[in-house]
Order: sequence, then C-alpha cells, then structure tokens
Amino acid sequence: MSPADAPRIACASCHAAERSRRRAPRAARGSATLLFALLPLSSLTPIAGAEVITDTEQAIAVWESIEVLTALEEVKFEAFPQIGGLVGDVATARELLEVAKMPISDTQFADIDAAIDELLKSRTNGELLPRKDVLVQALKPVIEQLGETLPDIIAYDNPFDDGFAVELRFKDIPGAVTKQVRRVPQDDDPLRSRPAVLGTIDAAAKIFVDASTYKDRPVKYEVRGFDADGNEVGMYVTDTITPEANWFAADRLPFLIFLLVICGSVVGYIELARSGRELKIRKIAGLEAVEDAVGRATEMGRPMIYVPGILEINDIQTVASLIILGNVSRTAAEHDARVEVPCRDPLVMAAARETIQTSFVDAGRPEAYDERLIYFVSGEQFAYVANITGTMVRERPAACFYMGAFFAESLILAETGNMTGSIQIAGTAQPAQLPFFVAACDYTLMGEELFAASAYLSGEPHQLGSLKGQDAGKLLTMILVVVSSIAITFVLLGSMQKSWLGSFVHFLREEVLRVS
Amino acid sequence: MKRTVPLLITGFAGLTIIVVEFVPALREVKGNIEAYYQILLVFGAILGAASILRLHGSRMLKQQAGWGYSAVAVVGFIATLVVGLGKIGIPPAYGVYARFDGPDGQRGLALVTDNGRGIRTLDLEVQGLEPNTDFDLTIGGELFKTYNSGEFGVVAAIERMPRLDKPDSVSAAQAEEQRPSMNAGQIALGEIYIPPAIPEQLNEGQTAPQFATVPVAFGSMTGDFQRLWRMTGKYDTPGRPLAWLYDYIYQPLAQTMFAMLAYYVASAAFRAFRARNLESVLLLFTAFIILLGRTPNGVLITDFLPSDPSNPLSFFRLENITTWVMTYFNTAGMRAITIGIALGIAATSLKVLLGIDRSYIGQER
Repeated sequence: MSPADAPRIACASCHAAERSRRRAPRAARGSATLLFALLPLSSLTPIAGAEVITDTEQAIAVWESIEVLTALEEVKFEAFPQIGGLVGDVATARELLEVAKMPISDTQFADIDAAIDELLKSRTNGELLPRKDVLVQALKPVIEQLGETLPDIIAYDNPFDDGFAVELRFKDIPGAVTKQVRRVPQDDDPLRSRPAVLGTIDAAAKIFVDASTYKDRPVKYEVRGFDADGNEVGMYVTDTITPEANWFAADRLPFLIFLLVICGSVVGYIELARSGRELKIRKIAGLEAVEDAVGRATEMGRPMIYVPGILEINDIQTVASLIILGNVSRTAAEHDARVEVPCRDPLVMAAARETIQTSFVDAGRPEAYDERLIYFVSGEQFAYVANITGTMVRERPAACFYMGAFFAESLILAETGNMTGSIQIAGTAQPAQLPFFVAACDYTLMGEELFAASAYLSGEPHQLGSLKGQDAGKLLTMILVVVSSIAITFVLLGSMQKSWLGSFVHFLREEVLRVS
Repeated sequence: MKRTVPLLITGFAGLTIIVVEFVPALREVKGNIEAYYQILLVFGAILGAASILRLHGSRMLKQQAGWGYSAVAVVGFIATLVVGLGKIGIPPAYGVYARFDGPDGQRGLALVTDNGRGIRTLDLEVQGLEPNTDFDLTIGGELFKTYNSGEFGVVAAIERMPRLDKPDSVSAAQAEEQRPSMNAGQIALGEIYIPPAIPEQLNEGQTAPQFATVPVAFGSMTGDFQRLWRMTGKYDTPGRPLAWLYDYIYQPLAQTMFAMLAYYVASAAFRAFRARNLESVLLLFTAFIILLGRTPNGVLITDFLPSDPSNPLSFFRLENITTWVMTYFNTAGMRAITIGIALGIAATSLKVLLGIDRSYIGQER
C-alpha cells in the first residue's frame, strides 16, 4: 500500500461506520449507545428460525447491521489502523443485532471474532498478510441469514430531523435494470393524493431518501422495477408513514454536554470574578503594544489603519475584531489620534462606525469622531487589498492593525506595512495565515489571543473571568487528549481490542468526535 | 434603549441558532433568521455604494493627493453599474410562457427560457392555490414534476431543464441512462426546442416539436405556450460587456496583486529565517528541510538512500523527513491552536450573546 492510499482506505471503513451511526435506530443511540460502548461484547441468545421481521425498528437494525458487515468485506486489511475500527464495527453490528433481538448464533460471531483475531495476530507479528478471505467466509453466512429475515421494503421517519425526510430500504427486484421511486400521499383530501415521481435509480440501489416530503402528512411509497425495454417487472409498496419533527438531536448529546461544560465554566469564572476574587492573566505583548502604537501615531501626527478582516459581520472573528476596534478607537480618542477603517463589507462598515462613535463618546470627545474615516472599499478581495496598500504607501501610517479573518492578502498587507515603517499588530484565527503575520508584523495575536483581546484590554474583572473559563475548557481538552491517546495506544497495540477499553475508544471515535 | 434593543436582537438570534442545532423541529426558524440577514445585506449594498461615491467624490472635489485614483474608481464603479444593471450587450434569450387561470382566482405563469447556448430554465409561479396540496406540472402530456403549495398556497420554483442535445440520436432509454435523476417527462422535454430555433441545435431533417405547440397543465389548469419576444439573457453571459469588464480588466489586476505574493514571501522569509538565536536556528533548519522536501529537485539530494520503507535508512530521505515533520510536529501545533480558537470562539460568542461584552456597541465606563 502506498502512503497516498491510506486516507482513501481509511475513508472506506469510516464511511461505513458513519452510515451506520447516522441511520442507527433511536434505541441504539444516545445513552443506550454509551452503555453499550462501555460494556464488553456480550453473548447473543440464539433464536431459531428465519421468519420475516414485521417490526420496523427491528428491521432497520438488521438492515444496518448487514450494511456494516457488508462494508467490512470491502475494507482492505492492509491498512492496520483500520483493524481497530474493524473490531468496533463488528461491535456496532452486534449492538444493532442485540437491539433487533436477531437470531445470530454465538458460533457465527465466534467465527468472525476468530477471523479478526487472526488479523490482529498478523499485526502483532508485524506481517502484512491480508486475511480477508477468512473474514469474508465468516461474514457470509451471517449476512445471508439476516437477509432472509428482512421484509421487501420499509419506510421510516429519518431520525433527528425536522420532519421533512423519509428513508426507504428495499430489496432487489428480480429482472429490473432500473427502479423508480414514487411518493403517494395518503391524505383524505383527494387533491392531496397525487403521486409524485421522486426519481429513477440504479437497480442495485437499496436505499432512497425522500428529503422533500412534508411533516405530519401520511404518505406511502412505491418502488417499481423496470426491465431494459421499460416494462414493469415488479413493485414494492410500503406501509403508510407520517414523518414527524424531532425535538432533540440525541446524536449530538456528547457535543451538547461538552458545550455546556465549556459555557458553564466560562459563566462560573465570570461570576467568581464578579464576587471579587483576583484572577491572574498572563501578559500578551501584542495587546500591551496597542497603547504604544497609538502614542506613536499621536507623536508623529500620522493616521493609524485598522483592517477588520475580509469576512462579513456574521463571522465571529469580525465581531471580535470590532470589539478590539472599540478599545483601540477609545485609546485613539483619548490621545487625539486618527484611525482609518477600510471595510470590505458594508455591514461591517456600519457596525464599525457605531463602535467608533460610541468609543469617542465614552472617551468624552464626541466632536472628534469623523465617520468619513470608516469607509467601504470593495467587496472584491484584491481590489480591497489594492486600496489599503495604496493608502499605506501614500499616507505612511504610524500603526497598522490587522484583526479578523484574513486569507491570501495577509502577507501583501503586512509586507507593505513593513516597508512603510509602521508598527504592525496582527491577530487572526486563520491558522494558515499566522506564519505570514509572525514573519512580517511586530506583534501577532495567535488564534485564541484574538478573542481574549477584548477582555484583556478592558481589564474588567468579569471579562477576565471568561479567559479563566477558557482555561478550564483547555484543561478538560488536555485531559481528554491524554486519556484518549493512552487508551488508543493500548488498543492499537492489540492486547485490549475486545475489552471495555476498545469499546470506549470506538465510542469516542464514532459517537463523540464524528458528531462534534 | 439604543443599546438594549441590539443586545436583545443579538441574544435572541444567536441563542436561537445554537438551540436549533439540538432541536431539529425548529430548523425552520434558523432559515428565517438567515433570510433576515440576507435582506440586511441588500441594504448594506446601498450603504456601500453610497460610501464609495461619497469617499471618492470628496477626494476628487478637493483634489486631495491621489485623487486621480479616485476618479478611476468612480468611473469604473459607474461603468460597471450601468453595464450590469442595464444588461448592455446581453443577447436576447428565447422564451415561451404560459398563463394559468383557475376558477377560484388561482393565477400563475410558467416561463421557459433558453440562453442561446442550450441552457434552458423554467420559472414557475402560481398563487391562490389550496394550501399544502400537491400539483402536477405536465408539459406535452408528460409529468414534469409535482409541487406542493405549502402553507401559503403558493408554488414558486426555478428548474434547470434538460438540454436539447441531438435528440434524434439519443433514444429514450439511453437518455434515461444518462440522466438517472430525471423522470420520463423531463427526458421528453429534452427533445422539445424553444423557437426561434438555433440552427446548430437541430440536426438536418429533425422534426422535434416546438414548445409553442405543446400543451401545458398545472393541476387542473391548462394553458398553451406562447412566444416571448422581448427578453434579455443573464447579466453575466460570457463574452458580453459585463463579463468582459470582469475577465479582462478586474481579473488581470487581481491576479497582478496576487502574483506580488511571490516577492513578499521571499522578503518575509529572509527576515524570519535570520539566525539570531537558538529558536531562529531551529526554525531555519526545519524550514530548509521542508523547502527541499517539497521541491522536486530537492529530494534528489537524498535519492541515494533506500526507498524501501522496511529499511530504517529510508526515513532519512528528505521527502520522508518532511512528511514526518508535517504530520507530527506541524499537525500537533496546528491542532493546539485550533482547539484554542474553538474555545475562544465559544467564550466570545457566549459573552456577546449574553451581553457580558458589549463594547462593540459602546459601553459606558
């Protein structure tokens, strides 16, 4: 395997897991999944016979387990990191079958487990021998047996959505080269019962998502098969289904918990700061230099240029930039310095005018405010840059501030400012642009420092509390990174693949990281 | 009041969008908030235009330093505006339209246009319909699509229609194979052309039906297509004045600005890589390896080393060291910064939404 193949192979397996995660029935999600993930694989109780399933939830679980197991056949096992995922995928399939209470015997799963053991053994020995055939042989009877229990077609409400989508799963129609999917509304009103052709799909397709239906309206679906001459050769019809909107996206529960912890710690520290507790914040050189830069502009009698980034007002970096602009312009008003703000977005211009005006009022110098210094340049990236660099060369500003979101223009701006001899302070949360600013500017606020600037410059205790809250979030992240790294190291070493630790890593990977 | 209302709007809109991420049933609200933002952008465009004219007009009148550039900017702005809004030089599009009139005040229009290059678009607007009802649009007796009238009893849609691609040489089955997402009615429409015909679109002896001769029906309402003469094509039709202004004036200028990056990278790298202290030396050394490792001829320096991954010496090939540095050191550093940014975004958003930080709208001290 070439290194270039690795991501593609990884994606093949991840995609199967992703599909499994997205389509798993509600019963197998959320807290139930968490419990499953933390438990070792338990044995299944064999159920004799292969009767067709009538329960929709049960059928979905079986269909998805087949999908996961079939995807396993397609994985190229030369990619070692996938073996860890392989164990997890088998665990997922088993969880789904447990939910479905399906008749898969321990013996069959024992064969699958033995095949995986063999793969793990080859990993331990450092060999690159693919043993796919062993696994495929073990999987085949399981997939066949499960297939016999499935109904021809099922339709079910897409989980965790706003009620506008229905998923269909159906078997092959013998003799069909294409399938046509139709929606048949089931309202009492005869005007609403007009069928709609949703599309023509490949004969091998087994799943279709109707994302154009309407919530709370009962519908049926037909899947018709056509041969090469366009003759209908078979048809499946679903039961009536009424899609509903869901009130909680349970698949995002881990993300919600993480968000609440972070936000809770921010609010908690703000309250702590309000109660009078002193909080220590490290010095940020770039922000300490703001006053020097404004002072320099005053002494030299030259203007300052403040560039609020090139994104629109709905980007948080632009909002953070405007917050810093408020502080910079207040200092400028106190020193009687001139700040020019060229904008790429008219709404940013309007907000910047409001920000600067209130800063001048707060500084007690409303008469010094001149809205002509905050102007719209152009919505085009390089036209905007050309204007700013031209202004820099002509006016030779004493200080340049670049705060917000920047892309290819970052170095053009910073190098021009460097050539004109300005003090330059930059800040962005675009990691790719940071090296350019670091190379060409006197001070650079890196990532989070851009967002911390407002609290830092204001010096207000409750604002500083929010920075401590961020630190708490960082601590939590560090703990998670260290624990997860240790766990995945043990799991990939091969000795704990099937233990609770393997399930825990699988849970982190599939349920926490993917959704978050 | 001046500060309270914006704070309330900010808090409501922002918190709603966060809540909607976890409550799918309210996703419609998010769409509405985003639509309001789009409306604001339109007013923003007027503000922006006024700002440009005021700024550069003032410079020109006062003949400030560099007023010539302002004159160029204003002339360019007005010329582009006139050419774009006036659709100057845009060729006429061919079109047909059909009216629908229902017994209970239902009214509608189906407009099919061809931009002269085979791109055909259907604009459909019908109002006064029974709410939440499905209606079939049939053209030439074939079902084109089914539309739902929604809560307000209105259907408004713009559809891309199939091109007229040598219809006599493509069988219905072949066409269906090529366009799996289309139904039979849509495929049949691919064989109908809009008059006046463009000669090169039709093969010799072809007798494809014209839109003007096919019946159209929306639900129980029927109509006939009629030719629409006084139309113009899309404002950005390639090769026309507005596109020409963009392609041959703006684009070269923008590319020139972008090209200057090459020189700026060299001058910035020269300053950044000066070996002043230990950190600078490490940076210089690492950058040197990465530069060589990413340069086609650079990797030839270590080409004598074995390339077989099982041989430990292969690690010391420049391309492998480069990959190792980028995969482990660089990725770890970038992720640390990214995590810090994510936490910063969360904290800043929270402060803005809860009104804890209100310095962006002014704050009494």
